[in-house]
Amino acid sequence: MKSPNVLLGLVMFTGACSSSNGAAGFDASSTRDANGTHDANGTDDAKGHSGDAGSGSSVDNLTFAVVGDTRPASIDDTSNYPTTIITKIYQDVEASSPKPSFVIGTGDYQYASTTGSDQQPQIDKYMSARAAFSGPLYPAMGNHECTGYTDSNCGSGNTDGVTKNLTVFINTMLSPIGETAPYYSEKVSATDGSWTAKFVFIACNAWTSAQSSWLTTQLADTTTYTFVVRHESVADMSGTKCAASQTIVNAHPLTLLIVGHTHEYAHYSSDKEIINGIGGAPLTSGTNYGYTIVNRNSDGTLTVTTYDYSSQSQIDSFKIKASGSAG
Amino acid sequence: LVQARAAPAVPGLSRPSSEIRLLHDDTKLYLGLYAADDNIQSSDAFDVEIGARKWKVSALGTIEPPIDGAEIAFDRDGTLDDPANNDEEWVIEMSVPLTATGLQSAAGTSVRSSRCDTPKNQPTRCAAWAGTLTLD
Repeated sequence: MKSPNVLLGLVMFTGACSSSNGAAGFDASSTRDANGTHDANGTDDAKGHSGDAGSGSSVDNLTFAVVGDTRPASIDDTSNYPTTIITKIYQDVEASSPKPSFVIGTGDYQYASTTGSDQQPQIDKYMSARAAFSGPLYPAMGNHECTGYTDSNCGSGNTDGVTKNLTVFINTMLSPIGETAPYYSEKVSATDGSWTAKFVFIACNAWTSAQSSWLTTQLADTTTYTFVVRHESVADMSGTKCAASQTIVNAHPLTLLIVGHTHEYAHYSSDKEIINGIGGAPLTSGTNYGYTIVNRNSDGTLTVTTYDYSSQSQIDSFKIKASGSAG
Repeated sequence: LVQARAAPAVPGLSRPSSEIRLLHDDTKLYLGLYAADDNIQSSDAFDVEIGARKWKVSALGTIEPPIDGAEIAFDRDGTLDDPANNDEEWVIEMSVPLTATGLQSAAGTSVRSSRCDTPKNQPTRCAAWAGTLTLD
């Protein structure tokens, strides 16, 4: 088989020539080394998945970033991993002022066949890029951490079983934060005790009755702010095995649902949802690559701003209350 | 060998993201087509032109007009003709006998591939790539 050159071997279309148209012991202030592993002096606890949301730890203010969906367009195409894009995004996050305490990943950090060997090289590329940010990364599981299909369901006893994609994700991306399962929660509070926040990470592509029960318990824990992180959006639920997760979310207080999957940025206020899937995966809309910063204001509202990674211009910005309603 | 030069009319990457990949051996031309697509529909297709010959290659895995000796396979991540949820992408892999392409060893042959798509709640967007293929 012959390929003439890179230009022909992989040709990205040009133009947009438009026609008509459980966790215990979360410590946001702990330090980690550049690879996201625990610093010898870090304070994170080993965490399990009991119903305990954990005592958490404190920060002066709530500021975090959201990055989502980073993978090549084609399966096992590790050489075309969007390293440049995701590295720049993490560099931008690191340079943000105020600097976010941590980053949330909305899933899909690889595009690898479950029978191949490209999982680890792709995740390693992501983790090297992520090292440009000195704080912790809390990643949600995407469908590409299972088999790649939106309706896939991984984990012991589930249809798709424990794939290599899932194992590499857990061992390389969750292990540094002390997690051993793809669903977990983190809790953080103000140093002056004025607010508390929980971040509940749903693994839609590893959905089980146990996770369902766990989710109900986690969301019943009362906090000032509740952030639910899941790869698939409200609109995606009918194509997944985890539609029940949305029913549970709807039955509890919610500040913001943070998702990815679709390679765009969007804000759906009616669902209290943002989609951030613009971390380097092939774009599905006109939005450029970028990242989101969530910052708590002195009046308790949150400003959610999404930036174009190239121009640093704002793609969108809005303010919400702890209830998720417009601020 | 096949040689090509990209000749973009409008710089910048397409959105929705679209790609074409080309390989060949002594008897066949192999094409890989990638389409990011949040709403995969039966009518979604690439237009592929090699010289004066034109084909429409759809998300259903069809080639119109048919090519004798061509083989095609497709993969879709999403639900066909169901806008209620968000799809991810569809991919085509196909092989075409070199004799059916009109590609010749000496003269360069123009090649163009294009695609239009309408992301949900957004205007239709079209993009294209064009180049020249030469079999040495």
